[in-house]
Amino acid sequence: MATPVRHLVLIEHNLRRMIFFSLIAITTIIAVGLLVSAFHTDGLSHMELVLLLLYTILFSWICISFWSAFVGFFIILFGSDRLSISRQFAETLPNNEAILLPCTAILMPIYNENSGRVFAGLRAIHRSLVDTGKIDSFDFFILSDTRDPDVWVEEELLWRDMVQSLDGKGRVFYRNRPENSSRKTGNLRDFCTNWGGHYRYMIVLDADSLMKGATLVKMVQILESNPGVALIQTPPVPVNRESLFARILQFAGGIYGRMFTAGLNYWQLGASNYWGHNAIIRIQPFLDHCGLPQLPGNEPFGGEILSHDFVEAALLRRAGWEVWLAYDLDGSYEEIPPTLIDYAKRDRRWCQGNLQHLRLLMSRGFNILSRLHFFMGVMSYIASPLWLLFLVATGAEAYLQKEQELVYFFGENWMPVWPVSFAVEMTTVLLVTLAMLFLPKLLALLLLLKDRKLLQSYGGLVSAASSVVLETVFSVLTAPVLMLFQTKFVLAILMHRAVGWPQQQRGDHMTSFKEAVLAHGGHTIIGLLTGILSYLYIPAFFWWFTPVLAGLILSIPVSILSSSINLGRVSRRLGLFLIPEETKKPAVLHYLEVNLKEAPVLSILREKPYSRFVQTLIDPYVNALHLSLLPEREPPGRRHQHYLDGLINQLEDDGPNSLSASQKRDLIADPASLRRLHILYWSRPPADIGTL
Amino acid sequence: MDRSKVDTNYSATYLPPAVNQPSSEFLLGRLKSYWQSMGVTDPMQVVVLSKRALQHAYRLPEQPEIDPVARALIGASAVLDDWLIRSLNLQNNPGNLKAARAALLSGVMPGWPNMVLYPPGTDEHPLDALRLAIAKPTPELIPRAMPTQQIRLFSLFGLFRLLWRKICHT
Repeated sequence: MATPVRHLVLIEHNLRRMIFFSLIAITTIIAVGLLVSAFHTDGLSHMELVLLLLYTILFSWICISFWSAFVGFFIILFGSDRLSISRQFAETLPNNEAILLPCTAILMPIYNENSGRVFAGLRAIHRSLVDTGKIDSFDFFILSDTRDPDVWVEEELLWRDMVQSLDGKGRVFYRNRPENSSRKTGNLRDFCTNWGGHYRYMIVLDADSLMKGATLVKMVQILESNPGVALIQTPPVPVNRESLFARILQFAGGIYGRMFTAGLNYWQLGASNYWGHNAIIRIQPFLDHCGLPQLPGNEPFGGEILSHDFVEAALLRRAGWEVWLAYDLDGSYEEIPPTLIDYAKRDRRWCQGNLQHLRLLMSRGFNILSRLHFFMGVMSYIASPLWLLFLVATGAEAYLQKEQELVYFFGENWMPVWPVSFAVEMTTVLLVTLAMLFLPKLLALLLLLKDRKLLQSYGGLVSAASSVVLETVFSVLTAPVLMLFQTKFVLAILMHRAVGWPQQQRGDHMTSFKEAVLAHGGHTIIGLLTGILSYLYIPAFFWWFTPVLAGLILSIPVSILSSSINLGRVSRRLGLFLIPEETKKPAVLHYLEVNLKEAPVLSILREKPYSRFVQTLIDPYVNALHLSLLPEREPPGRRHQHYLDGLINQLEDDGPNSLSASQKRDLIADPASLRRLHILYWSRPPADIGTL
Repeated sequence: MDRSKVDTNYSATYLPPAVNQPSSEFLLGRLKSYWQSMGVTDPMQVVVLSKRALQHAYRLPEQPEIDPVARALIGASAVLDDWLIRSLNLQNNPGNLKAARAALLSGVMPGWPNMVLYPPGTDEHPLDALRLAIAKPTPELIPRAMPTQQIRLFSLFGLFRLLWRKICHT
């Protein structure tokens, strides 16, 4: 039964939400009202109606961001949020040192990732936890869904190296799933149903996540002191990238991000969302309520739920559990895509999952805020085609207006009837919209003035202000490109078409001219054509349209230049786009840097073999290690045995290069085939064995 | 037409054909390479271990698809496994045997060939290092259920049915 205090808290929660959504509603009504008054000279045309509808949707969408940032600004300005999860329970926490933490699993689900970076990150987190003195309360799980045989074996060796060098026996675990059904959801489900019983909490990471030990400990303590909370999400700060593009995004994430997350927490409170990683989850409710079903029908809207995180948070809320965003917990990091093209590729993966949530919007039983999270996820991609439509409709309306001939004398009037000017209303609408988009950047800069130390970590006022201006220019240039990318993704998904891009590259790398032309050639052509047409037919509109046109026409050079690591380094030397994590590197980031350079303990990892797959067949140690990590399984059936025999024969005849990655995987996933090949290689060594 | 390209020996495969009647030199040569790849460097130890491997190989049941060299190499593996089973009491525990073999070959016990050649129990100290190095990849299983949740999607038909029920009810 709810206590009176709890009741009061709930009233306050609802009051906050009422205030927040009233602000959005009032702002939208005012802006749309201004637009209606500008349109409503001689009745609303069909085109104007379409424009009004689009403007209402898009304006209310940017209002959510604006008011979140605005509220966040005041929260940070006046200290912190009284109702934040970390402050709310801070008073109830006893002395940190005295608390015995329950055992928590740190999960790293991976799929064909750069294993060197994955393990270096895990070791950095491990070391950071050692610094807190609470390492004994944490176990590490590398949950591999990797299919590439070379990466698989590399992961096994790195696991062994981590166990050996960190004395991680019984604390650092590794498993590779024989079948990677249901992707990441299936991977986590496999952990929960097999080993979840050992732990009360799990902290889910991503391949490029990093978290400070002290933050991990605090997350466990907060959950421990509040039995009604099932999930706490921390806001991951983007770090560690060197390309200009990524540094600009890191800067934006750092300087504006905290304001937005503080604002989100203001109205979401215990009905927050899950972003898939850098979050702590209570395992039992996750087991009880987060078994995801398949949606009826085929892809893109049916089948497996792709963006599982939103749905899991909604299911927890449906079951009465609280989900919080700990906006004020620092020490949570992630790495972002290094180039504009990689950023778009990531969007492609997320887009389909988020659009699938359209079907869940009206599903029965979900909390209203969970529905809003689904809606916001959908809108983050649908907004792009809507903006495009809005721009096209605005151009068409401008053209139609231009074609209308003004009549000054009509009817019985002997005096000319001057057309009424709505320039003031239109300018107000434009200014309000621009303020909604750009004011948060100014507010973020103002917030820096409050904290001198923080201001210094952004390079001082001049550097921070210049960076904000340049970041704004950059975001204006890239916004139309991302709009076209996302529109293409949405259309492709709706038409059941795969966009067909290869896997995302996480490490810093420069975009080649060819890659840029292939990705942005269409954008450039669209920009040029639109520019010429609008200049010829609606010159007044052309000048308003120039920021969008410039972004499209310059997309190839902007994409190439922004991917440059050298330019990124130069900007850093000039004090531009600095973030606190660059100015004073936190220990966990320093550990990562050291780990990436440090030589592994296992000598075999220091060698760079021709192929880890072939090494598994030949090297007795790698072979033995791999065999020891294969799960117990039934002997293969007759047909599968014939298939494996065929592959062995193929390898005998044509060598390992004749096998595909999946065939290689099938061979080394079968213990009997692996033993047979090991003996084959040693009894009948190939001519090139010395070079293997 | 370049005949040399056509006339290349069709049977020239990536792995050379099996030697069905190898000389003892050839057999010992292969065993030597195998032991060396496992870190046995002392020539005397190589010889003794190879003899044991051959003794094991002779005891293996006849299998036509396994050639004599392969049989000898299987014997070498068996020498190692037998010693691990006896020394670490790993009877009936194939999982632990595999982990022990991996730990042994990782180099945590550099003098292991000596240990294999001496009867078990002579010096237990190096075995402790081996026991310590045996790491299980995962903890014990504790199976838990994760029931699939029901998500009732919105459908117009469902809405009409609900309305109809309400109308009928009133």
